[in-house]
Amino acid sequence: MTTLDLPHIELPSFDGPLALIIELIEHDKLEVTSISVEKITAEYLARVSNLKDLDIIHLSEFVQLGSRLIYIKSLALLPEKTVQAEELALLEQDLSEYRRYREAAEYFKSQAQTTRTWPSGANYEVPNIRIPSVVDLEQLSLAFSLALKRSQPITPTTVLKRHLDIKHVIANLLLKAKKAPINLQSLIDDCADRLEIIVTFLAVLETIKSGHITIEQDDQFGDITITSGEVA
Amino acid sequence: MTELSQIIQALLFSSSEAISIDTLSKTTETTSAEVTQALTELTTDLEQTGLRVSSHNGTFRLVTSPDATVALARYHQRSIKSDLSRPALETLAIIAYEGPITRGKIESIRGIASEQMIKNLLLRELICQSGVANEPGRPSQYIVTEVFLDTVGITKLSELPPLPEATPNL
Repeated sequence: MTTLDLPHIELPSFDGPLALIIELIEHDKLEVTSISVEKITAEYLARVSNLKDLDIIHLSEFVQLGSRLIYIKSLALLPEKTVQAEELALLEQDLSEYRRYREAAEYFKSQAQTTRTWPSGANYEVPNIRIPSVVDLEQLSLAFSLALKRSQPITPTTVLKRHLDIKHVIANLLLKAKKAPINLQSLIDDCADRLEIIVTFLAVLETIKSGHITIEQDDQFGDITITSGEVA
Repeated sequence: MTELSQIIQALLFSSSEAISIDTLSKTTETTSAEVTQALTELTTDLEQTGLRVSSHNGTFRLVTSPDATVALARYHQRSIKSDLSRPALETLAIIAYEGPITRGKIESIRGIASEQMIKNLLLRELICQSGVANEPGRPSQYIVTEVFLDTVGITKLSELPPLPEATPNL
């Protein structure tokens, strides 16, 4: 009987700049305590420049360590060598601290591949875990612009002019006049804007001309009353 | 085996979750000292069986013996091959040895942003939040879980080998 092989899930992660240095040191079979800054810096920078798929957050850490290496290297130019030794010691301390856990991880790896325990009533099914994929800046900005689009209130881009049809105004005027005589002043007062006043006035003139209404004015500058021509 | 040990064994067997000493003593109407004594006894007695007492964070569970791993995996048609990447194991190692530990401390040891890594480990229930650190910003602290103990086949954190020595003569 064969055991079922799990599909290998690659977690989106990076070993990090410290791991890279350790790798370089191990490659050169050097001790952490005897780093040749000159050599390591060159190799490190060469490797970092080849890292293409790193996102900005992780890249910054690689750059930070790169600048630290260059700084230590530059200290060698100073007559006072103790500063460089101190900086180098700090880096070595960080590296050796990190290496302890890296070695412990190796133990976990071998341990997790040969032995494990299951609690009583355990579910032996392989858990189906969905690991969220890493979202890059481009996807994020696209999602953000889509969200913005959705949240935007609908605002008109062109202002439509109010449309007044003189035929409708005439029809309304005739209907009103048929019911009762209209005071021209009150007709004007009911208008919403200047355009409506003009159209209404034109409608009055037009209907007088066509003989559908008649107008009366008792005194000079007095009220003008509109009456339906048919009634009169 | 004393009667109390037998009852505790039955309780642990019946439960799919870890049980605290407090709950065990309330359930069995005994003192926590008696429960602790009985658990020690049970742990020793089970050494000769296919089961083990697993303890973590003050709670107890009954788990299968690490010796039975291969047969169990075969029977349940499960792979025991770990699908954890090296960075994941590295982060786990830091949390296992140093926990409770904040993300900031993990990142300062690893020298790289570890937020995504921690999220993944939380998702797989290999680690959990244990509280907040008493420092500015009150950041969350993480510890490993029972799932971690099961994954590496140990029954308590103290079974972890000592952390490799730091390189001397710095």
